[in-house]
Amino acid sequence: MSDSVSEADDLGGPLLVTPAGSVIVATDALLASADRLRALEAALHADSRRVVAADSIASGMPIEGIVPTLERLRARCEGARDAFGRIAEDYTRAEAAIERAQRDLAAAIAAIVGPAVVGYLARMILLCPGLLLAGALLGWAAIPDGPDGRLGTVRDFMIAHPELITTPAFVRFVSLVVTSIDDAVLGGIGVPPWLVALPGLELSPGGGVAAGALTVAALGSMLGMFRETPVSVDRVSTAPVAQPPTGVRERLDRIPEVNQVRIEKYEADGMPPRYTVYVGPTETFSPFATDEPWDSTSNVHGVAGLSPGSFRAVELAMADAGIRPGDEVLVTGFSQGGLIATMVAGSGDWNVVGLETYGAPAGNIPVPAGVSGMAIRNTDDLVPAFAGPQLEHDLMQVERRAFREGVEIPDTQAAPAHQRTAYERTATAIDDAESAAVQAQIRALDAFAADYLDRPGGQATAMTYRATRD
Amino acid sequence: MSPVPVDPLAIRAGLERQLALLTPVVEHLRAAAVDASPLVADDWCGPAAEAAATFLADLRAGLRAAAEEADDVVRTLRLNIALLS
Repeated sequence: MSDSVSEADDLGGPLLVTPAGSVIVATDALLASADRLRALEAALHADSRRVVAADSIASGMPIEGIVPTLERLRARCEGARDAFGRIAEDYTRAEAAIERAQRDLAAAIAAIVGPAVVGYLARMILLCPGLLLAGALLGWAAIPDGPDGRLGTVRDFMIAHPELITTPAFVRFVSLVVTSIDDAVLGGIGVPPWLVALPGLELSPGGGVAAGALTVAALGSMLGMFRETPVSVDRVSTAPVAQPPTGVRERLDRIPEVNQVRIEKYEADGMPPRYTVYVGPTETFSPFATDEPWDSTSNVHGVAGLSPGSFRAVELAMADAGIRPGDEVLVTGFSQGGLIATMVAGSGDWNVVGLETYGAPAGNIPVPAGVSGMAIRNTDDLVPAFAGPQLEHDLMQVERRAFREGVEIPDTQAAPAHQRTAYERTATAIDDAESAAVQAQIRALDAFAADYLDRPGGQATAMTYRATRD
Repeated sequence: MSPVPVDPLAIRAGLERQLALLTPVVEHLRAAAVDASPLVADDWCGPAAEAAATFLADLRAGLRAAAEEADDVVRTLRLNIALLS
């Protein structure tokens, strides 16, 4: 069940909403203000019509003056609403221009500096490996040795200083770096930097993110990292579902951990079954594949557009749950679960009609037209940035800072803006959103499951799955 | 020329219909002048916040003025109906 978060408890910033089919970013408050103005305009128009109707009564007295006053008021509201629209358009245009300039600059820098750095490192490795090793050892030795070793010291430092990585500026930096890896490769093979910076010259869709992830996967595999394996799934429980989820927070609460996949089957008399698939987040960040498919190997292979173990495991679970290609499916996931949910929607193998993701590194994955839902991101969460900028799709995008300017960022967990608790607060803020656009999207997602349980013979069953690498 | 015949019952019926149409308008405008807050709280500051506050004040004043204008008509209608009684 969703806990109500009071405004005082909520550490986050305002909701930024990009409605489906639009590129204009506006705050929920701005959209809600426009909704309220529109309602007032309609009410004033209705008042005008009543006055006109009264004036048209032949046996009554003439009525003068009120209608022009009401129309002036209505025009004033309409003008304010138009101004809000222009504010949102100007903000979006300025933000897009800044981001484009940053990406072009990052691409040029990567094309110039990247090959030089790689070449310098290669020469060092070949000509004076001892010097390189000594430098690396000196740097490593400079890190204080703590109870959990030097790696533990680095980890503790990052946890103790969350402000270093929990800002929209740092997240943008990460996004620029990941979209510039392919530019460094292009520069390395001799493409001039000015040409690399030209829009459209990318090794893969989504700003070259997949090419960058492929590079990471290829380099890592030389060291035994990021190596994919076969996977298998076991159904660990089957139980009736008492209530369908209502709202974003309740759907997030149903996303499993440990047993990584939960599938709810909704049935009603005379209707084909519908399914909601919940996909859990990363379980281990080890780059070396063990028996856990929800690992860094799946993250890297997923962003690279390959076939990660966790994706194959979800498809196995979906098949076991009896989902047929034509059955309507709503997929939702958090973190890596969001990446995998987006891959399922984008695979074309399933009839995915709805998608809801939280903090997913999935911006570079194309989503077919007609798939509706929400892509929810904290703008100070660096994980979604690993997939670069968001490709256009029919999902509503809802973003906000998990920790608004000036609030104390907790220093107990790494990447606090990516933690489930941060997304729980964002989900609650979305449920509390006032704008008609956000509320309509929430209702549409709620209806997917609730509609069936309201029908004769309506019932639902939840199946949970544990996946392992073989 | 003979004077136009006046049917007091028809006039009264017309005035009452006008009253029935305009009374909700006055009520709505009065309520809106007090309650209308078409701007949802946002992190606005500086000139934007000032412009929003000015807009809100102007809008409420306009709604009050419209309510007064409509109320004048309603009062006149009530008076005329009373005179016909």
